[in-house]
Amino acid sequence: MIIELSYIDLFIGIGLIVIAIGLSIYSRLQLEKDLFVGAVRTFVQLIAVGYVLNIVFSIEAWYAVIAVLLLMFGIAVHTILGRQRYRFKNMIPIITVSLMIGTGLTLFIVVYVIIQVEPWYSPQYVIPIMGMILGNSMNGVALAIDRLSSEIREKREIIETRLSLGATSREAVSDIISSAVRAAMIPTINSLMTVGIVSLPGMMTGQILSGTSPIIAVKYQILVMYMIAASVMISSVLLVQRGYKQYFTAHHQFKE
Amino acid sequence: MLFQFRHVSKKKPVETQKSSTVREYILHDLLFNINAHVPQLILGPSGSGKTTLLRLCNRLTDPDSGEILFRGQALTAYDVIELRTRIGYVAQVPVMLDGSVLSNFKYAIQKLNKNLPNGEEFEEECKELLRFLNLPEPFLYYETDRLSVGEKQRVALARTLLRKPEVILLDEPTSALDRTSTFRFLETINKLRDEMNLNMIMVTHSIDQAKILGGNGIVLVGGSVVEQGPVAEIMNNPQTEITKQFIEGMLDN
Repeated sequence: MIIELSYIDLFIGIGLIVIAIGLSIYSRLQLEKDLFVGAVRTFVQLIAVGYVLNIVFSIEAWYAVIAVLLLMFGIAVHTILGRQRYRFKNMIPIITVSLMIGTGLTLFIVVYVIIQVEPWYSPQYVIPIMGMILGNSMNGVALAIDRLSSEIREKREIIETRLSLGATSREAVSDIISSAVRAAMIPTINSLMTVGIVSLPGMMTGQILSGTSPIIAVKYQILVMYMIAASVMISSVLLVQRGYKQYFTAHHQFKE
Repeated sequence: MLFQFRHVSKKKPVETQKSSTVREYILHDLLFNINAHVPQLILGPSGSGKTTLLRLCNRLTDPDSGEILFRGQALTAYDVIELRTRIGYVAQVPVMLDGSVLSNFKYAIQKLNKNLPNGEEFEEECKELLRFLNLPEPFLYYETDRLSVGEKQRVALARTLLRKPEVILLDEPTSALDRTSTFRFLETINKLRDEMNLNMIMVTHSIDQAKILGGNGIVLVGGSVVEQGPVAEIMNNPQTEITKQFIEGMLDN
């Protein structure tokens, strides 16, 4: 039922990238180097992940699954840090804890309460679901911190005006906190609105391609959409709640 | 005694050419008292630490060493929110919150009472205050982005006065105004002092303004107090060479 792809098929697929690179050169877009590096990275990263997952799936041990999750987690935190223009104190622990609670709680509900996988570490479920939750939460959190840090810096005078008028530091940044969470949530909310109409999500497409009935695939996809929304929301709310405090002392004044 | 500064020092980070930062004194070993019921002027050229001194008074920032007393008690012993209710601060550049003048006023008073004031009564009170500050009543409903800098300055002052503070800290409130507006603003300030009996601490680098306002003064140069006493005395009989230079306008660029 599934038509397997051979490496020769993939080699022909490179033709698609060659077309893109050719167009870039022809139109002097100077994207050819990035396209080339990106194409190579995609190939290497995915093949590597495929083999690693293959090993993890075959040894079917809890520690192998945990190791993969931790690795994914580390990469997510690293990626978030790499996207920040500004740093604040305790940024790494705050990101780690927010993401851990947001994704962990969501993963727990999806895998153990709803799907009820056996055994609990079943890599076939745990790893791809965590991958989706973590990937989206990572993007959300990165947007939230960036918005939070840049607005607190830009609006310093307004914040101090509010503080002088008797606001607590939490009250003085309340609009910034909501704007940061909103920034994190907008991509997710947009996809909740348009999924199935404008876009067919990758997970669902993948299931259908591999022979699953579309009805089963959409049910999973619905669950995926909800879990992503929950996880992005929990992670980004926790993050901004802790994050803004790094800019203020307990006496409602800016740290120097 | 309103404020007592006891050996107050504050450093701020300064970038050096080796791209490392060192902390230099912005205020050094301040030792003086500020009396109640007498306007207190903080004089000095730009960059002498005047604004920082003012921000210490409502704890927008804290000293690195030394102690500040407010009405005999350490500033740090007060609840910060209560302190900022008792000590109003009007920054040098007036910052308006989004929305109308009225919503700015509401914000100020909301933080005070923790609930929204009664509509009509409150608006009446606001209008009275606007009149007092020589602003037309309809201003209350204007969006703040329509106001000129001078008008914003008055609205910022009104916003603070609505909270009925015991002390008001004014940071160069006339810096953005032309001569006529400055004069009118100073008149208002004097009126405030006389009619509201408000304790006032005002930063200025203008000798002319200092002469108009009077009261007590301290002269701050390079973060240190170089002279203190009644403003008239400082002006007429400066004790130090550096104060003389400041009065003659030689210290400002």
